[in-house]
Amino acid sequence: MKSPLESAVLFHIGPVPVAEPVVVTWGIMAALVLGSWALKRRLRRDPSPVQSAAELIADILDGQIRDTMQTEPGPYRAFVGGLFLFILAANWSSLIPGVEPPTAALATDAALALLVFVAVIFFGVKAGGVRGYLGSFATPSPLMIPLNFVETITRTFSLLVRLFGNIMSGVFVIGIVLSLAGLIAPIPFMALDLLTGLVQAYIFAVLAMVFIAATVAEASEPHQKKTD
Amino acid sequence: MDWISIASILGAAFAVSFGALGPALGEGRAVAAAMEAIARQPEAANTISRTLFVGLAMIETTAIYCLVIALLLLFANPLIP
Amino acid sequence: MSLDWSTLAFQTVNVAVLIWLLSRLLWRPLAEAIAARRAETARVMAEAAEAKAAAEALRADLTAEREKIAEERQAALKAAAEAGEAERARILAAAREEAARAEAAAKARIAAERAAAETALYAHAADLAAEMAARLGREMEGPALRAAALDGLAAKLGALPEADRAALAADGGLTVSTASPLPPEEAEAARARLEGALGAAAPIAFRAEPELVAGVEISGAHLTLSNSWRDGLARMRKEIARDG
Repeated sequence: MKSPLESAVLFHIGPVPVAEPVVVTWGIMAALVLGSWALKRRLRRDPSPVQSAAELIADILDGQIRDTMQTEPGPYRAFVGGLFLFILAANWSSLIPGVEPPTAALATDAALALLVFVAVIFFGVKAGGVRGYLGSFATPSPLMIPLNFVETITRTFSLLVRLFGNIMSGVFVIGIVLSLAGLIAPIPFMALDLLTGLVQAYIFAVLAMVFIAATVAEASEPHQKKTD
Repeated sequence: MDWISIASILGAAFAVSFGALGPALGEGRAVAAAMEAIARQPEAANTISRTLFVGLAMIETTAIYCLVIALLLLFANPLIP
Repeated sequence: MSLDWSTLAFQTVNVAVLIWLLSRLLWRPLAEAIAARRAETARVMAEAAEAKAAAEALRADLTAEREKIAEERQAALKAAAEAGEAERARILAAAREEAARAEAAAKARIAAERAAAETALYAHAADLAAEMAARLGREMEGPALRAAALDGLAAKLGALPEADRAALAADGGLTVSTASPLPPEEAEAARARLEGALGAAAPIAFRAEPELVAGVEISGAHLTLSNSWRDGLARMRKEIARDG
């Protein structure tokens, strides 16, 4: 059986190997970008059904950001929405025969978690400056600095491992069932996979929002202990 | 088959089984509490479900950790040459 | 396990680029479209509210107008009612006046009629009374009455001035009229008496005149002295008629 921890290398660009997830990601990117471009070209004041659906999704996203982060969604919409859309598309790409979702590869999830890690730093620095961001580690007290630091790393890892584990296990289970039984048997697992994919995309986005919001709130609030 | 392989397989099985136990119990309690809360306050169902999903994902992460450990033991065991 | 570093780098760049592209191509246009639509909706709502306010104002104006009209109508009705009332009062007053005048006229006519009736009645009563008195006088006619009447006449003759008496005596004498013919002795007595009163002898004729009822009348050439019931009754009738 193929190890779920490794992905096949399809070809090389010079000395750099290009693995299967990268190619699938390019396909997903192309589809999303082309779809967005087509949608953008057709944006009108009296919306088509597709535009209505897209606006509904954007509105729901704004509502979720507002609910979760308790702030206006403007600066975070692109990051959170982009993450969600990509993860959802990647998770559901398993429906295409022969395509293994990129999120079932550890490197893709690591890239996503890394982006969240960077985004937390970026938004924290943007909200409170470097000093404010570093000060966010000292809440509620400077004693918590090591713990907060460790937490920042571990929560990134937990983000990575959660997405990877869920999607990869789904792919793995489907592979096992497919090798055991014939045609119809994997269908319930695939349906469950769809639900898991949606929930994991949502949870990834929500956790990214929570991390960013917590850091932004801690970074932007004044620190009396430090200024005194 | 040497001992290290046997121990790895057993460890993977134990990791998955026990790793599934705790989260299952925890998720059951969380869902029960959420159902009770929704029954008591149906108007807060949206917030409760969202929080429930996030919490379930958090709890499930522990099981996923165990699964990852098991997979590491099976497929990427550094002790097996 | 070994992380595939090249894949990690590829995927990081890929996802970052995708997020950027999506933010440019999807989220920003969508947000702008939503914001534009919200603005449009707000504008339309504001316009609608404005139009509604205008309509409300118009309605208020119309209501005020209608109230004014109603007020005017009320005032006109009131004025008409007052005019009608005044007219009615005037007509009533005129009618009352007319009625009063008619009543007064009727009263006056009735009074006049009654007065006329009374007068007629008095006249009739006077006639009756005179008739009764005449009958009584005729029954009482006799020497005593005649003597008393003659006495009165004689006194009157005596009271006349001397010249008159003389003239009476000279000019044809006197005519003594009585109701019934005087017996001779009584005529003699009367002659004597009258001559005594005249102070001279004079031709005295006697005449019976039943109209006198009772009493005596002496007529000369220029004057007539009467002490008869006829005269008295006539005088009394005149008085009664005047009184009535």
